[in-house]
Amino acid sequence: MTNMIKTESVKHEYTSHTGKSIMALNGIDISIEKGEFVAILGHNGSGKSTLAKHFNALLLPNSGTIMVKNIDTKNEEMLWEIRQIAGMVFQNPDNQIVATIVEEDVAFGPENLAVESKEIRKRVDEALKAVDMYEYRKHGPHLLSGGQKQRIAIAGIIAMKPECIILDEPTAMLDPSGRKEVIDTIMKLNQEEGITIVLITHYMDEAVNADRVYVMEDGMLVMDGTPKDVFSQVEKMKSLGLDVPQVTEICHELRKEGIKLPADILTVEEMVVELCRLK
Amino acid sequence: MSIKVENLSYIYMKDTVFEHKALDDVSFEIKDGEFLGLIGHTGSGKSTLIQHLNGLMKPTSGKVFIDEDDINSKTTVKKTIRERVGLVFQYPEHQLFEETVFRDVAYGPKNLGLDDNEIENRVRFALDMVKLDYNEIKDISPFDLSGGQKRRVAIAGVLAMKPKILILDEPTAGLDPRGRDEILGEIKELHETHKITVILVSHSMEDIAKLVDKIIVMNKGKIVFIDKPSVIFRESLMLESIGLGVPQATKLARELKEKGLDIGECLSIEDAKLQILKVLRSKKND
Ligand SMILES: Nc1ncnc2c1ncn2[C@@H]1O[C@H](COP(=O)(O)OP(=O)(O)OP(=O)(O)O)[C@@H](O)[C@H]1O
Ligand SMILES: Nc1ncnc2c1ncn2[C@@H]1O[C@H](COP(=O)(O)OP(=O)(O)OP(=O)(O)O)[C@@H](O)[C@H]1O
Ligand SMILES: [Mg+2]
Ligand SMILES: [Mg+2]
Repeated sequence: MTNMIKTESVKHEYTSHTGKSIMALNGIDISIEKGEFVAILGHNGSGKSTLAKHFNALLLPNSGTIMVKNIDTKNEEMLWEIRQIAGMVFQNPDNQIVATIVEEDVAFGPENLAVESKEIRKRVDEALKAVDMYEYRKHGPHLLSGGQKQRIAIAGIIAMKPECIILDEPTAMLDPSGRKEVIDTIMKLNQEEGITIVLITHYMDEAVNADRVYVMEDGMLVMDGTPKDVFSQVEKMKSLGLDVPQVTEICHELRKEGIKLPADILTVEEMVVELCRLK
Repeated sequence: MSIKVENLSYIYMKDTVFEHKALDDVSFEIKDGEFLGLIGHTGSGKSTLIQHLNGLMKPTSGKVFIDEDDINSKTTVKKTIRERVGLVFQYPEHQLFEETVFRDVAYGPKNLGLDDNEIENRVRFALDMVKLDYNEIKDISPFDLSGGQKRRVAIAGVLAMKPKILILDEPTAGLDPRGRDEILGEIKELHETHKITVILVSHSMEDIAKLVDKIIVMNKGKIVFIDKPSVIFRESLMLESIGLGVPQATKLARELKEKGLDIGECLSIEDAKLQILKVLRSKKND
């Protein structure tokens, strides 16, 4: 297998406006394979966004190294290569909107990559359809609702056809079906196009779909494993300020009452099957 | 304090090609001391609606009353409305502009004309509510904070005004699970002890089911349902058809019932646990 992103002992220190220094990343070793779908969890301020910004050279480490497809992110000459390989969707879509018409906004990325205009047209249409915003292509993005803006931001990255997409809380403002569409879109891009996905989220039920889940705390990785490994540790997740899907918690509560259920139930479907077996 | 909305309509960019009717003849009433949930698909008009409730937006047609005051009548003083109705915006972190967290949270209380002592009390109270350590954070620049930390500061800024009506537009987006539960818990307590009226706009069906007395469901600028959570979440197919959903516990209960288990409505983890235990234990005793 080939690495998409590999970090070694990455540290990052911020100096705040008041001169105080904060160790936001304190020795991160992570390796993300090509084609993998990785979820990163952690409480507010644990360092997730800081780490994500290192994955496409928006931030550089104070010490340690980050390799994106074997390119060192410190190599300034390769900055555009790196940004083309790893595209980023931020926590807040408003900051990402650059044009006054939706389709121009989505075209902005591929235009910067000097993609030819016929191909841009095709990519923009496909990307807008993938996030179900095609009918809004002539609208002004600033006039859309919060959730609609988020989908446009994701379309803008999809249109750049990156090999890896890093999404920093992309569904925070979406309604349940919008969230499902985005997660389905992400999974489709991962499974059908082989795009590597790094998803940062506070919604535990979204992380259930990942191949691997990492948990951050105080600038360090404190847990990692398959979703089943990680979420079956209900008490530990809660002690880290996190949560587990509601069904996993119901399962955990029932197990405490002596009901014989497996510890690693993550979905309603699995739970129904197990409970019907018991009755 | 009560809110009454009568035949409210709002059209964005009227008389242009982008004309869009975001609110279409909306009427409802919220009684003093109620805890109300407002749900609806993205773009259904929730943010537009709540910005009418403190006079930030003016109706294209229709009326809004806070207690007996028509808030858009010329004789009503706008400032007194904004003091009574506190609104946490959907992207509140955009409203952070002061040099330190303290000054940001103190901004509202200062405008109320409170003295320095009371202002400090208010800031301490509000930061405590959002689980930020006063001494640790008061001198930090809001721009040095993580996404979730910024959001907490922005919520604190509104809480520090101690409004009689508190409106929160997606307050927990970006908060970690513990922060979400703690802050919503504090708001629930504030509601219970001080009898303030609360409107919570949220895409989290779990949070809505757990907290509110009554739910308003919006679809394409119209109100389609107003009822108790137990009634609203019975309509899972209808909710799904308009872009919404039900809590996982509710979904689980429904699917178990379809498989022939004797399980009633569930809104929470606790409900589901008790009902499933009852079924499993009664089977054993048969
Ligand atoms: N520009 C900055 N200057 C100084 N300190 C910062 C800056 N950005 C973040 N920090 C600090 O670094 C730490 C990590 O922040 P980061 O944004 O990576 O957290 P996060 O895990 O993404 O949190 P959230 O879930 O709230 O988005 C926090 O303590 C934060 O206060
Ligand atoms: N400034 C504006 N100009 C024109 N149209 C707008 C403007 N703001 C919102 N709209 C449109 O009005 C409708 C309602 O928007 P609103 O922001 O009230 O929705 P919402 O229910 O709050 O959505 P979300 O859950 O995504 O926050 C949407 O279709 C949106 O595109
Ligand atoms: Mg973050
Ligand atoms: Mg809104």
